[in-house]
Amino acid sequence: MKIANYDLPDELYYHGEHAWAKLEDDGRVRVGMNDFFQQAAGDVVYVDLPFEDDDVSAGETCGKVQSSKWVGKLVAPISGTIVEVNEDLEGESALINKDPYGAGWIMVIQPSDWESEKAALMQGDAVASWMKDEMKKAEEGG
Amino acid sequence: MKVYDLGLRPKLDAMLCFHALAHLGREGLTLVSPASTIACVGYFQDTREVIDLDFCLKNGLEVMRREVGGGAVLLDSGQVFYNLILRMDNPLVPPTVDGVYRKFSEAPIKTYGDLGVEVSFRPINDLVTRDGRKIAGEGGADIGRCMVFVGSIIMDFDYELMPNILKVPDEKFRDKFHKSLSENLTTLRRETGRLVPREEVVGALKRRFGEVLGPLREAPLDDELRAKMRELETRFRSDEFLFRKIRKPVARETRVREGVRFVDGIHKAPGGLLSCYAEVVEDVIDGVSITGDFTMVPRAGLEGLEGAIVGAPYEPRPVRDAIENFYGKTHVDTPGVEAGHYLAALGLAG
Repeated sequence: MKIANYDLPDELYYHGEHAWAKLEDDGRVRVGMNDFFQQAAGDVVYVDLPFEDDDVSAGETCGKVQSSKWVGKLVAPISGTIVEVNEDLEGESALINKDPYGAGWIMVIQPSDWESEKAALMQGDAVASWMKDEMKKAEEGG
Repeated sequence: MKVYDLGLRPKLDAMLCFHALAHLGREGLTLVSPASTIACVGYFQDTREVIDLDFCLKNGLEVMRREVGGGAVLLDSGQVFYNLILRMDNPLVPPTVDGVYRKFSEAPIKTYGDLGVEVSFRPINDLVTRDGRKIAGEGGADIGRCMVFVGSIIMDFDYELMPNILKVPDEKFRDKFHKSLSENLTTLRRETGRLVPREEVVGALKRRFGEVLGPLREAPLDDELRAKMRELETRFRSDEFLFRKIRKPVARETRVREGVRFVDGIHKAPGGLLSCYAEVVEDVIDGVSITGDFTMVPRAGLEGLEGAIVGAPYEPRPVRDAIENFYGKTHVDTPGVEAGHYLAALGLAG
């Protein structure tokens, strides 16, 4: 789905803090930050990744990014255990800008309760309406 | 909106107050100066690699890490810091980082104007005078449920002290940094020829921020805030936080102003450890120092290599070309160290 200038692939689930989540075939969930986040942040120059084996809760800050001298949050969209982090970001943090849904993924989580937590994430029409609200805020605040 | 006019605060208090507000999820504007000098590193910097800790200890300087981005800075009583804390869901908060800088920089820009200096916003986050000299650097962070926007009005600045708090490869580069700082950073004192009283700066900031934020209400530090500041002070003073392990140090960057920066990094090549330090002016390498424990035959070739890199655009391809041309034209040999390793040490890999 393309909303204004932002790409938001239909098959992904979205958290209100602009994280995306994708259920993979093996039951694990790949996580990254969406196109709105990367455009709003500007060029990402550093990523402070979480650590493998860390447990996270939905909505919890689990890492940070720096762009334009700004320190922003990486938020876990679901609860579970982090089983993989994208170490390529340590060498090239700009992957978050260049390819937010591909090479710029952040981590893989073994979810503790995907079925119930996915209900709190957004997909489909809810994404469109949420993004429109975000853009409206952008116009009013900016 | 509450404004906390805190005057001169001892030790780390000048910085602790805005962190405390953000961690408590409370909005406000703090206007404050440190009573004594603090060497302050950015959230993602490795304190031991950036700061000359021995110098700071000998000279009684506090060293702290802030939860805000950017590089190492010197905080002292010659600056008035404006720190704005707003909840993310406040409609005043623009959703983009660039939007935040542009919107909230209006107040300090007008403040400088009130004090007789014409200043404009220069992306990404500098305020510059008409001749392009930096007069304020800004930064920010998302902390808890709040966004924090910080910056300072520079009444006066210690140009001699700043180069000494940083770790640099040699005295030649320290002099270069000092010269660059003197040329590219200015102050109210330099621009107006007078030492503007702190009260005048604070009065203008209140007036101008009030235009952006709505009426400001004076508030004292309350018990909740004081308690949070003390709690944070314990954390900020802990070795665990101050010297926290950075997953992978970025090639360090100390920006003098937008367009002028010093970058350096370390890379472990098969032939030994390489350390590079460069001054980059408008994206061109203006000076470079290469050190390490690798073997170079003849050793005198190092100067030639440094000379070959100077003048190259600060991008992987031109720097690689410059290095490879140098090796192609000379008989210099560095077993186990190739162009790619220098690029990595200069932060140009990837």
